[in-house]
Amino acid sequence: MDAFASALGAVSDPFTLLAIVTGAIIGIVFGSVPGLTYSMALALVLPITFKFDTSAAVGMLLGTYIGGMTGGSVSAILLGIPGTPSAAATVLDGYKMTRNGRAGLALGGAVLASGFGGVFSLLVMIVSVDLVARLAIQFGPVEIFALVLFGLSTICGLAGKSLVRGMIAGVIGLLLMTIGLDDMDGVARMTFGWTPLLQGVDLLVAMVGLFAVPQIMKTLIDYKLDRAFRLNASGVRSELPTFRQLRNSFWLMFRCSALGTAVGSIPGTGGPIAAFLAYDHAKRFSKEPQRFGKGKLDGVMAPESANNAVTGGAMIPLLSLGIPGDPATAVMLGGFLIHGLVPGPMLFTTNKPEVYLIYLAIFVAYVTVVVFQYFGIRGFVKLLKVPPHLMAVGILIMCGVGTFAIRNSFLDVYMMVGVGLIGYLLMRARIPITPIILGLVLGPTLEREFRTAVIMSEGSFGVFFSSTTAVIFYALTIGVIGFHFYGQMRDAKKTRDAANSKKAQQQGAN
Amino acid sequence: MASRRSDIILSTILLLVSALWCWGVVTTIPGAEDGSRLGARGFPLGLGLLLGGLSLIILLQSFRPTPADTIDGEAPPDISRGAELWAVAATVGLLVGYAALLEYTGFMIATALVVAAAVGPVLGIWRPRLILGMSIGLSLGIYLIFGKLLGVYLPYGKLINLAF
Repeated sequence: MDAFASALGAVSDPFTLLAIVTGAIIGIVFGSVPGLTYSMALALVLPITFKFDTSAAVGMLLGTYIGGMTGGSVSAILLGIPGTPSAAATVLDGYKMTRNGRAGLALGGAVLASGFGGVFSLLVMIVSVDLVARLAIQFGPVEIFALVLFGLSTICGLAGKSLVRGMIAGVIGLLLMTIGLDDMDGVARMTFGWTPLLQGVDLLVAMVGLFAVPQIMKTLIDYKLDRAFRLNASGVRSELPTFRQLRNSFWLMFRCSALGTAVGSIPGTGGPIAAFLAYDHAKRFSKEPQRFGKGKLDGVMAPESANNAVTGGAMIPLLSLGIPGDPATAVMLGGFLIHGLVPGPMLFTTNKPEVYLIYLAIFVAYVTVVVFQYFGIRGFVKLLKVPPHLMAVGILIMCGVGTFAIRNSFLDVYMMVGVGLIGYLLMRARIPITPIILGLVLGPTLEREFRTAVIMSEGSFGVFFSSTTAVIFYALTIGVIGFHFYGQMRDAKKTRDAANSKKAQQQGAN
Repeated sequence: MASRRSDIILSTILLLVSALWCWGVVTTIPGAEDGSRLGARGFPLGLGLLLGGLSLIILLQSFRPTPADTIDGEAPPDISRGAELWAVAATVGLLVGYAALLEYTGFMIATALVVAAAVGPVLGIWRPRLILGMSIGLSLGIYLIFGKLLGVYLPYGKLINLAF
């Protein structure tokens, strides 16, 4: 109870409240503008939180995360372009509603469903996160190693369509984290005698470089080729659904929120999958399936409640096991670690007030998001009219300021540019960026637990198979990789068959 | 075809990186003194070898009769080479220039100059009110919100300084 009172005191501190609200607004802005991602927002916000106390910093990060997840619906509805991948399913009916002159209702419905999904998943998270953590508290180095290995297997889910390329990205992240002074033996690794490298590649520098710089480049390319989006809507106001509409949609939102929470708790899945599953579910069980895709409100509320429920779901493995499930939670894990919070089972013993703070901050963030998005829609319309290339100029400045603020080092700014350039080149070579971050964040734990287990067993590698829990995690890891590998092979076969039949048809025609 | 060529280039570069990495690990990181520990060398060496192995898979895939595009299911993005070079050069140039200016002229002057350069010469939008508004607005806005309200440390210039 003392811990809860302490958390309540911390979250009601004006600075912490301001941090949560500011984070939520930044998140909504980044989430709503196509081309800006909320992972990028989190990477840019992280250095700013550096000087804050833990409660304000954690509050701002959570606010940004939740704001970002919700904001994607604005451009999905008004422009027909999802601000975030999670809002892609919202486009199907949301944009149709705008074209039918019902943009206000679509926006209002989306806001309400987002808040419902978010608060639903928060409640599920509060109940389940403690249970998972209690199970995980008995974990030793071997089990933690196996668990982190399983976490890294989520690379498959974040790898795009090529598993090998995703794994290459993950290995690059793991390689980068080994540069610098080795904590266990106290020797320099891969520094080649250059003292500044002893402190290693800073996680924040890497995050800003990898998420923001390539995005600026892509925006400038779009500007040069004159293919940026344009908003033609004006005078739009949010309009809440009627009581009758709400009553009709309540169970749908409930089911979709449960689905979103469940999907979110599986690392490597995330908002887009949850949203499309929810949309499909809504359509399948609707009395009027033929109206989906033509501007039905349920087609907006179902994916929006599901993709926001993902936030609470994704927090379950993040807080209880220290396993991030998507790019945004990977950045948040980095942020928590920097502010002295080590997600995992011990968090619930050593940092109980901070755990309650996280719950309360998520709630405040959702309230902010709902209020801000409902009343501030005119602001969003104006925001979406700002050309993206001018926004890129502001982000470029934030990259420099944010990176410098991490350690007051100009070298970091140059490193961020270098990492960003490498990130862009890797993207062009179809190597995904997110697994690099996952490797950077989880790498140190993976290595530390592996080496500790080897030391404790006096050099016997058999120790890694001495625990049933660890073996289960290995099996899950193999299962996840196998499942994605199978899916990839099946897709490749389909594409090959289609290409072959097209070729045969052409030959037949000749 | 272009995809196959780029895969060969990518895997060759990664194989080279992997070889150089392993060489660097073996020659600069001391191994474990006894067999009961993994030592500081084990992990980076294992990862270097793994990178080499994965790169080799990409290389072998690129020699398969079916184009790599259909195997991976992802076609390379359609981007004009000239626009891409311009965007990359502009971003890197502006960021490097900003870092250098921050060091010598401090936050306010550096930000105003870089924003003006980005909007005018780089983006080619020669509207004085926009250039002036964005330069002053961004530098002053960030200074007040981040520097004053949130207490974020903004750089002071070695030569001149306008932050107070």
